[in-house]
Amino acid sequence: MLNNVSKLFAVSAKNISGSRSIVSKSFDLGFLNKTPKTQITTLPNGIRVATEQSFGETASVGVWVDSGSVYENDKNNGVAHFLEHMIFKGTPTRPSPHAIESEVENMGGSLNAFTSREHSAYYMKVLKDNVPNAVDILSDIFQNSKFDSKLIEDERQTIISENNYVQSKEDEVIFDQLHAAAFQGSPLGRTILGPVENIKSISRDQILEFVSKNYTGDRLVVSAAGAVDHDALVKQVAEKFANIKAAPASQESPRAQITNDFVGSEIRVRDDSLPLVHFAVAVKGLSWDHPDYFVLELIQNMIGNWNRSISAGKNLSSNLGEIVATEGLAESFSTFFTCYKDTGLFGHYGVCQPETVDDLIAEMLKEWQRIASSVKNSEVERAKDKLIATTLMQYDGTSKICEGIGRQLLTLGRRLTPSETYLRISEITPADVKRVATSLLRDVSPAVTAIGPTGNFPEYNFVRGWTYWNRL
Amino acid sequence: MNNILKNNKASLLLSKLLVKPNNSSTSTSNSNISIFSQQQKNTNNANTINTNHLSQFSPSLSSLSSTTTTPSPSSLISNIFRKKNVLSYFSTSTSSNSVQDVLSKSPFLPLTVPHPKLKEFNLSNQNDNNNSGNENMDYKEQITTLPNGIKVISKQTHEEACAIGLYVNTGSKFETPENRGVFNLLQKMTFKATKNNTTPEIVRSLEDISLNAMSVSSREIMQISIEVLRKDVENILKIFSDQIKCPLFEQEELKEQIESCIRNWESLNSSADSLLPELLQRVAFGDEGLGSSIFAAPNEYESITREKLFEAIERYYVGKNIVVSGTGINHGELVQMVQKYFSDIPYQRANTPTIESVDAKTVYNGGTMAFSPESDEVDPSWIVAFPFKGLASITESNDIFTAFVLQSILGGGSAYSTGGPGKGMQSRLNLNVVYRLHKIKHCSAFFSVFNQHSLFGVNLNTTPGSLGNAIELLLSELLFFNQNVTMEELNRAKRSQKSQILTNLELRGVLCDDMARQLVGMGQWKTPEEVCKAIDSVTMEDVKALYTKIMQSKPSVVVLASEKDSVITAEDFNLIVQQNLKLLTGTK
Repeated sequence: MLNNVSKLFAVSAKNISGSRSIVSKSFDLGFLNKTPKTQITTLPNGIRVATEQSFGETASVGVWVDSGSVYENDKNNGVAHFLEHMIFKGTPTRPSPHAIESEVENMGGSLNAFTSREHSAYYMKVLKDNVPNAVDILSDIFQNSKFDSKLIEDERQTIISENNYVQSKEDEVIFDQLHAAAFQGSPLGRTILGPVENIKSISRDQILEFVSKNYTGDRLVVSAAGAVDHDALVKQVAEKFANIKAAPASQESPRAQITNDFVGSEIRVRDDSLPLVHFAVAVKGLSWDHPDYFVLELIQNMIGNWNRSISAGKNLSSNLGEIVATEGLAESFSTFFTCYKDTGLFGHYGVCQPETVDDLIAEMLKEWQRIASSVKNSEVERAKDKLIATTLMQYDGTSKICEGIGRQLLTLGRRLTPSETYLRISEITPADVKRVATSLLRDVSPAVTAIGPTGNFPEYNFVRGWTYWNRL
Repeated sequence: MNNILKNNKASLLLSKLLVKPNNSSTSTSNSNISIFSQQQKNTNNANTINTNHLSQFSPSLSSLSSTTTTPSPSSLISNIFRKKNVLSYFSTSTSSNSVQDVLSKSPFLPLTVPHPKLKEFNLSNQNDNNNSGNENMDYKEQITTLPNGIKVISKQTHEEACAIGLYVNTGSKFETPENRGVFNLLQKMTFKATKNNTTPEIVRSLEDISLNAMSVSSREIMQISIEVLRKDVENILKIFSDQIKCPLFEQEELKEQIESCIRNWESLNSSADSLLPELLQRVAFGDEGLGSSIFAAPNEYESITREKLFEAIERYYVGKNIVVSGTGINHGELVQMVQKYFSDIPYQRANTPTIESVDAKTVYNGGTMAFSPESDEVDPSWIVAFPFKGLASITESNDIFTAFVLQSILGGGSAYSTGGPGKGMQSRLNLNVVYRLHKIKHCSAFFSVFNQHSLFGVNLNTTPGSLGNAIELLLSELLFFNQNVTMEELNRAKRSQKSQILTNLELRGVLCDDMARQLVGMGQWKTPEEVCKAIDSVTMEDVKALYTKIMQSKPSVVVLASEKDSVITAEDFNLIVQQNLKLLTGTK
């Protein structure tokens, strides 16, 4: 993008401390009840249909599947993602990729998909009178895809190109390395795309086997938001998705047991031809449904994000952001909080000049200790208000709502209403923040990954040591 | 240009290495990677770290500097799984104590269980709501003009979140040689200290209550916009009004921002993607008016003083030029608040120029600008654009909508892109140009609309040495367009335009912008329904007639290509069109 846009904050920039001369009013709680109700119906074959009907001319409809690369093994690692590509390539009634593409584009809609470690999603955005067409297309590709062998061969090159693209993005590489290190020996440690040799060898049989094992009714959620009618959608899904089996014949879970939910470890790839060091420092975070989920999210918000290009610069109220800006320690840093079913990751991703990397990591971990030992009541309260406001504002447009419904039904089995989110965030106390920060961020062995000119990157035991330096 | 080159080399290197990932045994031992891991146990005892095997895998510095290849990270990750023996000391024990501690101590319930007080809480809010809940359900857009000329446009919505923006009918089109770059700097100086608040106070308050706070400068409009909950709208309007009524433009902050502008200018000049459209604008409209870029040269930025910033604010940020736009808020309330904070701004000042006098400076020229890249490895580009009428013409003709439909029929995209159907995969430029010649990296139609003018064009970007072939392919596609275009394509384009408009307008920020930009550009607001109706009414004859007319006008062409590439200039283009007029008009 051209630089004639100044964004004041980073993507989801956050708060704290200092004077407060412009006073914000307190929340008007009445509106919490104004948001559309989520209606959920479970069909006989286990598929859950969930909708939030709102006003407008368009709707988002999607199928969310409790299936991603964690359901793979060494041999078929990459198949969930490969499947996501192949599912758009043709069915008996829509015989070619071209047929599906023209049908979607002729109605002015869009069709997209993604695969993550735990989930796959296929979703459409359409004008309201095309909701039935969207359900028809989704049900057809889910149940009748041909997975033509010739098209599978053609697709390998596309996926290899995608892999090359991913490998040229430092942040993608760092997070793949981080998973490989922190979750070594566990399916979470594998990449989503899989190794190139798998991309070259995944067969039609492997794809079909993966579908029949994983795309079962009990693991599917059809979610919709916008101009949709719940009852009509339930009726249509019941009819169109009738051939989906309730659950696989064998009762054993196809998901391998997690043997290691976190391993303190390190991977660094030194490449002095790169100008900047990219790294991640992470500790074990929390699972999707953890009671302290919102406490850790609050901590993530308090530590915040920063990058050189935002116009707020060093005036941000993030304590770490201010230090980094004043001392010139980084090009950017962000605080991430990634959840999985049984575990999670919490930490920082940073990009900096090779000579400042040790100071930057030291400051990051020092900030963790500050939060754990001496976070101020006022900063917790401010952060809570901010988190409530951003959480309530984030649902903009039907796509995000549709995705929120799908993800929460898969991870929590239920939908968190704005009221509940408000309640849960507002009851957090500074003691909770210290408790969670102390147990997760203090005296732990982190997983550390880095690429670039890492000559000055601190040795592991230094980093480890900074998690229990206790004199602030 | 250098940046582009570097990136390409880097990715090439990675892809080359990816092809042979199987040297694992050698690459791990003699290259610059270190791997070690340690069990996460005994986290209560800080000193028990005995499994440091770093030295075993960490090569000496001398071997580092002599290493010529870098193993690709993907092969590294697969190595970890192949060579499990490397990680002989990873833990098979289960989770660390710490997380269980958290679980046992947490006073909260897991998120899988509803909060015990939820029912009670919802009930108590329902009662609150009875008083304020039945507000006016008329969710139509409303416009009010205040006595000092400020226009307020808003649309109530069903959500508590609002988008609020302050839009000013000014921008680099209004700059003169004396203050070139002043609007770019004004954008950079937004959310800075005022008489009432320091910069940190403003930034931190906005951080607390808002999302997407941004300031945008462009040729014809200056924008400050933000998203907040309804309760904080008044705070925002106060901050906005201070920004234009009593900014301080502190010397030190100005200096920082001038430096930042110069850095932007440098990065602009090192990226063909951002530079070429700016040059196209200059070829089309010369150095003044719409031709002058929002980005000035370093010496121009350096000559901008505080006084020039104050002068620009005084001249242009006046009632008749200002629009305040908002979504998610009652119109009457918004008008009252705008009155409270903005009513002391005058309708205009003695030195405020009329928009007409400024627009008179913009004249379409057309022509060709060509330059060669610094090296043979730079991807060549070719952009052609035709002059067309501006947004203001909407009041008397449907042509703007026809042009949008035409753009959608031509469509186009990149050879490598993410996402599925819906981005114009079936459009003409994709099917007949991008997918036809794999050396083409990008080709798409664009339509940049200004108030009194617009540019309709196509850009093309290929791998080195292939530009000539690609232009030929594109030209034949363009010449045969009227003969080949089908009703299916027309209907698809119309439906896709409508769908995009309706989808985008459901985003509060886009709706807020759109209302304000229409009001600034054409003095009125067309509802989504009206716009969709106008798009529906576009016929095949309209599209063909407009296309024929556009193609016969004198184009503006920008070329980045080495001497080896055969390219087509604006004059060549006119000539080709004249020679193939029958083909173009579709008369056989």
